[in-house]
Amino acid sequence: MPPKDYFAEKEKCKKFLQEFYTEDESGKKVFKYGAQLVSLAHREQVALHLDLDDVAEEDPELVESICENTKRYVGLFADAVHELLPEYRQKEVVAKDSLDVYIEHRLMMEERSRDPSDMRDRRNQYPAELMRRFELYFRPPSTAKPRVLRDVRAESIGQLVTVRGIVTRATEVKPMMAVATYTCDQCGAETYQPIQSPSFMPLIMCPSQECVTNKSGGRLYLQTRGSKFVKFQELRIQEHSDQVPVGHIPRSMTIYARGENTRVAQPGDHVAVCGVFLPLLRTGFRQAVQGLLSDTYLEAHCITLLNKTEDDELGAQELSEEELRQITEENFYEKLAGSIAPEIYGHEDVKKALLLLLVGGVQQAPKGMKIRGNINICLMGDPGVAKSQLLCYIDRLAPRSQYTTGRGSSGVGLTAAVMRDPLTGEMTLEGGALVLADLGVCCIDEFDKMADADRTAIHEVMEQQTISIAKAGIMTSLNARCSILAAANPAYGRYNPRKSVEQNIQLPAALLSRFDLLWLIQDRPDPDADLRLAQHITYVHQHCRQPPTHFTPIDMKLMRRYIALCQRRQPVVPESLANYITAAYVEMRKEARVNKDTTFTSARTLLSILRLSTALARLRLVDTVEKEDVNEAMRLMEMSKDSLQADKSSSTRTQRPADVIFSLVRELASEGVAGRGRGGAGGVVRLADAEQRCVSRGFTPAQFQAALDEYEELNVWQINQARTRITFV
Amino acid sequence: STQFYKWLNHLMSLHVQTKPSNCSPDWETKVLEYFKEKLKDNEAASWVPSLNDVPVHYLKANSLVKFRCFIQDMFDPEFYMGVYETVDPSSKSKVLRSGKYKDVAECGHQVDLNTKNAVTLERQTFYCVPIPGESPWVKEISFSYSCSNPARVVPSTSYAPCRHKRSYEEDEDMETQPHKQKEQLAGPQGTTDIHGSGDPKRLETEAPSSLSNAASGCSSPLDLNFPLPGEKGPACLVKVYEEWELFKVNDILEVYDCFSTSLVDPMDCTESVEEQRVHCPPASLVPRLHMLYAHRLQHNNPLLPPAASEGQSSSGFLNDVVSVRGELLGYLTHVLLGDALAAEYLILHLISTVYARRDVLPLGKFTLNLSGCPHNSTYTEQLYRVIQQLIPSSFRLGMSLHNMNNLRLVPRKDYTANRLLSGVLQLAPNTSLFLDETQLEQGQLDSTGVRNITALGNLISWQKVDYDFNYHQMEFPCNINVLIASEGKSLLPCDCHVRLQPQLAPPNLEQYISTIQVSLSPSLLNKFRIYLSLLRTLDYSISEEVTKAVEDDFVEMRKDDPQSISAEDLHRLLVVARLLSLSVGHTTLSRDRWMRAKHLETLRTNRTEQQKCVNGNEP
Repeated sequence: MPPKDYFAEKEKCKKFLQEFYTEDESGKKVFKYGAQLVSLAHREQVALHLDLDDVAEEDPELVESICENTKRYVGLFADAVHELLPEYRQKEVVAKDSLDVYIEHRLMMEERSRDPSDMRDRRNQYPAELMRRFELYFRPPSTAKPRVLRDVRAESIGQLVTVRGIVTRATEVKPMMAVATYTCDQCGAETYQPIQSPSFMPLIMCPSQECVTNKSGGRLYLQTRGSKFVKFQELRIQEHSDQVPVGHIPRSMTIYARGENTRVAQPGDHVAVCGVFLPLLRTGFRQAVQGLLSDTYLEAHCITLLNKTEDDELGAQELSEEELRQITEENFYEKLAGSIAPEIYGHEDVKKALLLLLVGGVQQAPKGMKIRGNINICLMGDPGVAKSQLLCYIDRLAPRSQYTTGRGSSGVGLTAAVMRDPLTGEMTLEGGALVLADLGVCCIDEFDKMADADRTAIHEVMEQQTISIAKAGIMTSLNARCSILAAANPAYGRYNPRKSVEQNIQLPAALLSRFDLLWLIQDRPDPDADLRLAQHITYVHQHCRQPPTHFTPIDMKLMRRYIALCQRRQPVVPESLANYITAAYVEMRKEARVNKDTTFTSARTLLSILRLSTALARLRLVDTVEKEDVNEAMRLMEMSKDSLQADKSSSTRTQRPADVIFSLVRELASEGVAGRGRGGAGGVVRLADAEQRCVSRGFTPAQFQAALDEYEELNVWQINQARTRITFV
Repeated sequence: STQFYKWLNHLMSLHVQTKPSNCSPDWETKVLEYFKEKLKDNEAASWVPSLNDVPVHYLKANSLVKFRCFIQDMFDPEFYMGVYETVDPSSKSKVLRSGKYKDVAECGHQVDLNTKNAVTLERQTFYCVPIPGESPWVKEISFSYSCSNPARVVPSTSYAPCRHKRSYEEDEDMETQPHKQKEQLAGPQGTTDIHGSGDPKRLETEAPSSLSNAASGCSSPLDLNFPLPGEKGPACLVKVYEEWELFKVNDILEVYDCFSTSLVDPMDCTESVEEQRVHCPPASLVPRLHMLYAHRLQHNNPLLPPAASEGQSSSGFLNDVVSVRGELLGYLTHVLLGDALAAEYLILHLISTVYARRDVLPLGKFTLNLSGCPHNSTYTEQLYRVIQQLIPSSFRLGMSLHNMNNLRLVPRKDYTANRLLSGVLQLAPNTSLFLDETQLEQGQLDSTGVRNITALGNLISWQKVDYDFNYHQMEFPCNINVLIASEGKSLLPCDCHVRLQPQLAPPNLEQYISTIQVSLSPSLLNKFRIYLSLLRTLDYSISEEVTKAVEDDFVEMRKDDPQSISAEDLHRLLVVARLLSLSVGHTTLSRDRWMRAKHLETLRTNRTEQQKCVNGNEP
């Protein structure tokens, strides 16, 4: 390969800077870099960011060479800019600081001593760095994917690479010498020494013509004011935890940020850094001693802050058609729910509820009042029913989550603590688990074991979604918009269905009512279910994986992305449904009164239904809530209540569903007589009403149809031809 | 054979110094192949001196050594000149040299850094320490083999490592001397004894129990970062040239290296002072090794061939597995004061291992809680001694309040020094962790204590340790056998709880146990050791037929009494059945074994039930 003609390359750079333009809406040419050059010339702008995408439009080959040999091209572009600047200067610039004055003076000095026959610009005599007040950075082409830190290898040295990571250390910003200026004590001539490495060997003897010929032995003295310094900061970044293969230690990398790139990131920030991967040069003695090793660093060109959630989205592109189809096919709701903790057998409804928790309802904020959209769920259950595993799984699935146990965390650990910084003595606020889980899920295991005082801290979070602090002179309110997923053991080892919920888990009603769904996971004997359970477990032990089901569980990453997509929807409850929901609520209240329910039905229940139905609508990626959503929400409510009334339901188990449906319909019919309104007079009930009623009690439409047919055969009721009305005989 | 070793060393030095320009490009791989071939031979491998055994300063630079170690930390990759050019100052002739397997360029030549022929390559540094918690007998056996031939003396020194012939006193002298030398050597730089707290003999005898020493060990100027307090041995920086992705943190390896102590002046500009101390400790304390070849060890039992899967010897052993099991059961029954059931469970526990993971669920773990251990006696300590005698690596953690509040259990990343500060729970696979809960007393756990207890709970339930990386936590799967000795039921979760029912009460426990130990013949003891390590590596399967029977059985049991068995119980029952089959050398589950497992479980649960009736309030 013939050596590159860098002079030609420089001309290319120049041409690009001068000629690149984009067209705005009106078709006018906008010279993107031309305009910037003007402000550079007027000292209104310091950093010039060259977008490599723009360069690619003009000359893709040039981009390639830039990425391969970045340091060289920074020099070429800088030269090009430097040469162009005088042409772009439109007005006289007032000197801003001493360095400007110095530059001006030096130019004048050159002017005066200039040989009239020599027409060359004398600025060349000074080191280029000294005369420049601009900084030049490349912005990576959008086609270049950010790399994982451990993929940056020896062959990347000298190239432009983009990496992502978390900042673990940032030094103070310090001035770093870029050009050292010396004056001679004999002849007074100035000598310049450009510095590339972190350390340098000062010059001692004056190299000027005068001193060398006279052998006067002029000594050089470093001149601080005449030297050029740049801002310098050293950062250390470390790989993200998800980029590290299992069982490896995260790698880290040193980053040098200069000039405008300093003070961008702080420890703990997630950043994407684009820069040149370079070996560290040493000079003199050290070079000899350093042996065969060389340290490397990344010379930052562009540091972008990412926040963790954005960062996740960056990795996840839009779902492709293919993937969307894969998810939204037939009974996707069951499929998604089943994909939660596939190794745990059964508990379909609990998994559905957990899926809704991940998706979350829509938050409403009418006139400053805030109604949370997050769904809180409490799982109760006998020991050993895989509650903790469910929690663990949700913790892993949710993009943002915190897992704590009630026994291990104090109120302070959950909410926020005021800490005194040991170094500066300043008071700082440190977020606890609930604050850290903001916009995510906070899983609290062994909720019942928590001390009462600590539990009260959660009250505020669960309804207002904020945490108020009034401690040590700090009064503030932090956001804690998280869903709470709690798991609790019953107070007496096993759940006693004869006692109320509060007695069973010994949690105050105020707290319990804040959970949208309370779920009791009990293991009841049931030969079929037991057999399937046994098959599941033996299969796991036999083959080290879960048995093949009728569907393959959706991949965790895909699921996360789908949930993120769902969360963008803001479905609303249409006016037409309002009546339906109110009626259902009134019905539930009435029933609660009649049955002396062990659970509550309060206004919060209504809100819960709304939340659940909006979450369901989100899951279907639609913008309005439909009747089915409400029905499903009510069904889940009903099922969760059912699970609590273990005793009753096990006795009604002996009753066939058809019988229950019959009694429900009859009830409806008698109501109709009493109310003389809705259902129809006498023993006539509208079939649609009856079906709604039954579905909201947790029966499937199929069961309902079966019951209809069965009782019609028994001649208990008649159904008209159009199947719209049931008439009792 | 001495010649062989000498010759190997010679080859080594050739390999290290040759110029790559004048030979074929695959020359290097060929040489490595040759080494590997030679070292496969056990005989040859035993001629290579081991760093675990021979003090650092008796080894010759650039010679071949081996090191059985545990990867504690991985540093960032290092970039070095793979090929560089030197200029002879007198003749100006240029020579290409290889930069592999060495730290510094050869002296007497000027390195030309600006030549086009230089190639920058990358290598990875592992921080390796000896296997944490390795039992004394492992060292004794593995080095008595290699020491049996006195010809193995490294030619350049007068050191004669004939450990088995030396008396204990001499041994101690030999041990302390090098340290003194080292102290003198390292003194001016402000570093002192690597082992932190003084007298090595005391450490050797007391190490496991003297956790209080941990504090003093950590405060020493150069903390060598051993996972367990009171550990000793050389820590090494192992430079890996290829396939470093294959190795993971906490793996145990046997590496064959080129030994190097050449001093590189630590003056890296990108590193802070703390970092330098950690990453470039004086080579006399932390030698550098350049890895030629390594293999991952499945176990560190010297009585078994390194790769236990190729079990020609094991198949022979399997024949008398039943008799060995009987002997072991008898022995453990005596140790457990005549409780045969507990002994049975202890065997199952000792051969358990995590054989697979299903998402978050580790399969095969079998944490045993031995409750009813007499409080305020040395019984638990004695018990641990017995287990230590049987198991290649183990550690006893006294769960006293002080320990819980002060020990660092979970490794933590130290960003100022850029290294992973080790914790007690950073252990090699198949290490036994003996938690002594009888030491726990009433009192206040502070936040560290709560975190430590949580970490122990996580370890037991999920077989994982969340290493603390300050900004986030990283989950490291592990495979640690946890045995909890407690008075009542342990506060930690466990897979299986056995209440100890002593059949006899010897007046002097200590004497009783030591008599049992003494009466055990060394050959039988070795058989036990082989038995316990070998059975872990066996494969196991359940036939369709038995699976069906198990399923039906489960349904049947549920029908009779739903409270009697839950999903978790079935999990445990399957694990017990698996271990029970393996313990007699069967690799499939038979119906009889299944019934036997059920029977064992019934006996065990009855015992806890009984206890509940006696004690009333014990859960």
